Amino acid sequence: MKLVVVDPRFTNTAMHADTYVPIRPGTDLAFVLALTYVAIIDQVYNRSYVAKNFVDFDKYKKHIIESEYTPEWAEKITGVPAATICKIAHDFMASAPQAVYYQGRRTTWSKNDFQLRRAMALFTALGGGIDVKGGIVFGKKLPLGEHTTTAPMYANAKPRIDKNLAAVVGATGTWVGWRNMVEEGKSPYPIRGMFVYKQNPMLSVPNSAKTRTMFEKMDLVVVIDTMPSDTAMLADVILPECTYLEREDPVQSFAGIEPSIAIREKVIEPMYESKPVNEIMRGLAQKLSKPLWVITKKYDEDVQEELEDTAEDEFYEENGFDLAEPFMHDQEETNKHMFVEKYGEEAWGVLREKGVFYPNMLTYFKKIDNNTYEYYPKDKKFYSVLKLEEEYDPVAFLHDICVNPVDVADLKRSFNTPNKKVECFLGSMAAKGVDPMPVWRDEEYVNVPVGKFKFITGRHAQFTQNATQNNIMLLELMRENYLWINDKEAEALNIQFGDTVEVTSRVGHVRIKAYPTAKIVPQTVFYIHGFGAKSEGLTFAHRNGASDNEIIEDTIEPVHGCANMHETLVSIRRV
Amino acid sequence: MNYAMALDYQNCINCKACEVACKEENGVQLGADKQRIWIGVVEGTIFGKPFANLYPSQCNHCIDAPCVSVCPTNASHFAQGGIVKVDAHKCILCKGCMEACPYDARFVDDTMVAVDKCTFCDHRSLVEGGTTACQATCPTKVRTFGDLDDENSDIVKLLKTKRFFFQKEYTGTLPKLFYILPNDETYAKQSVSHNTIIHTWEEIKPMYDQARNRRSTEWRK
Repeated sequence: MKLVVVDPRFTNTAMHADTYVPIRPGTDLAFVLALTYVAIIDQVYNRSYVAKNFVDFDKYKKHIIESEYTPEWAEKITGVPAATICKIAHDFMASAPQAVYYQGRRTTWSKNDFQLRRAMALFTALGGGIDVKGGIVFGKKLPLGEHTTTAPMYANAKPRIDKNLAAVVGATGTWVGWRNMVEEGKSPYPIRGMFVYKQNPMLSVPNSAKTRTMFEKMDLVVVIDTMPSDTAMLADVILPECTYLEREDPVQSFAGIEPSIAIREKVIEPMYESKPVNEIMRGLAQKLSKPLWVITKKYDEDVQEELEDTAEDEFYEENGFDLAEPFMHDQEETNKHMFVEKYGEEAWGVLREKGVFYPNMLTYFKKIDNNTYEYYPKDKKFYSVLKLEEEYDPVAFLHDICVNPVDVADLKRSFNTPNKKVECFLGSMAAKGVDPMPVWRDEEYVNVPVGKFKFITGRHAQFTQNATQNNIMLLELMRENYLWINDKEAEALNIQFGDTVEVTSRVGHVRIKAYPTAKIVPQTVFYIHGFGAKSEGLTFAHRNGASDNEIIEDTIEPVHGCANMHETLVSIRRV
Repeated sequence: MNYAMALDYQNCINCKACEVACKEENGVQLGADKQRIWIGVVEGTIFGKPFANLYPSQCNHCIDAPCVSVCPTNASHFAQGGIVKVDAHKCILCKGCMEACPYDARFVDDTMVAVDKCTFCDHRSLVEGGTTACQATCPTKVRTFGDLDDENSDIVKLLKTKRFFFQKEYTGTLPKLFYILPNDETYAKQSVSHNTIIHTWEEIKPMYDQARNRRSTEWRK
């Protein structure tokens, strides 16, 4: 296998790359468009796959060629040599369909992010690497039974206030957009209270100062957490949840080529006054349901109308106004109900004993040696899950080396899109003022003026976002975070390893120790997310290094509304 | 029985799960300088381009262990299978062993008031099908623990198919961490020095067997 890593930083992954491509942050779209240009101009893409599975490819081809997204053009923007771009495009297509442009995690770097991810997927698709082994695989998800409950309908309930802040705001909203509306007093109705569960927006969302002001403006902030996080410290009420060892968690189905269902059981009883969230919600709902019902009856005209024909008790119970009802079952009971419905009592016993279950697990699972386990036999893995137009036998494909993987990828598939094909041109987006095909826009790119740096952030293997920040075993591995700065630039600024520097952006400033290194491109600085907590309740994590969101500006991606994490300009000063 | 560890170090991703597993499994004292195992990082630039190599490491359980020879109280000793261990109650903290060790694999455990080091997790690895905590936790399967005397052990089976080298072989201690040479030529060149001697199992087995026979009289049962 060949690995190409494109990153402004020489990461632990880059260390393992056959080719490491340092790139200016925010220019990945230009890089991908140039790869696409090379693949199209040199005709190295999978033409029969494209003919069968693409719609509007002619438009995309015309757009890419006419926009002159040449490697030479991309070199000026990205800093990646044109020859490297050509070579990567050719190598990629030579390996396709077993070639994938990995989509990444914790994305949304800059304003063009939606278009970047789309261009990446389209490039992979040009090689036929979708829904085949070695390409983008969707995998299978094992179903769980249903656990339904009734939620009350209120006549004057309002929709999401942030739904117009970006072109396609989904059910999860745009957090930064929403926070800014509340903080700036732009919400259509006053938002006076907030429940925060298992989240720490003070550390996890750009512009911590605004998050703080928003909380301060509210009459009531309730935080449910296992840790005295920075957010918990701003709460009016803290409801301590027990840790994962003291509660049963909802049964989970994990999709993939080797799908499974997993469960996490309680090891000890909850300590001190902590409770599982299910019990917290039950207790709260039992206290709140009746008083809320009185208010509902008084103001909700729909309810008043219904009550003319129905007995009050019956209506209250059947329409979900008893808010405690969904929380009356213990998690264990709900899990059993959801699982047994699909897999039966015997499988439930296996799940509880092993912690994991999938059909045929007891016959499929093999321990070969201390380093090798087989969970699914090769021919039972779910690489291809979409419906195929022609017949093909996956078992034969896996065992018969005479079958060319390109031929398998070529088979016409039924994608889950309006045209059942790979869509190059999104007309529905055009209607919302979004480019229907990926376009590079110079005006959207944040240039770095002399003397400034672009700040980028990231995660690493040892911490889970900021939730594990107070874990002493993990802090052993990394006590605090350091500012990566290009060694030559650091020398010019007379900054040495361990020097404290002040990093200032338009929204805040932090102090952090410096790590001059050749492992980062010039005009770019980086430190890892998840440090710099200010809560004194976090005995070990308190003020270890700096928090990235203290300095990241709060702009949002115009298509899906996520926060742009890599568009902040900062200045550096040794202190 | 002659216990050893093979390390397919090319697969190391520097996640340090092994370090955490070791500390949890063995109750190792906390602190950055208190390590039974660690990931050695060598990084720099070649013609301005960054590179980095990772060498996961721990006690080599050398056949001719200088730490054992130098110990004035017999606290440092060979346990069964040639595993080098420390009797905490015999240790007088002279730290001679720490000076003698070419790999800096020992440290002072302030809670035990004794020198501490890797034990190859002998409380769990020597049972049937067992292994060390570092091997069990490794997501990229870097480590293979096993018995060099057993032709059918995972480690001997692996060593027969690979070429390998040792760290600081020139010190002559006959170390037992076998670093597997990557199949990838570029990676091999980049992570091995010009002076490193590359070995095969057939070639090295007689020397290791001979040394084992010579020293195993000192191995405690």
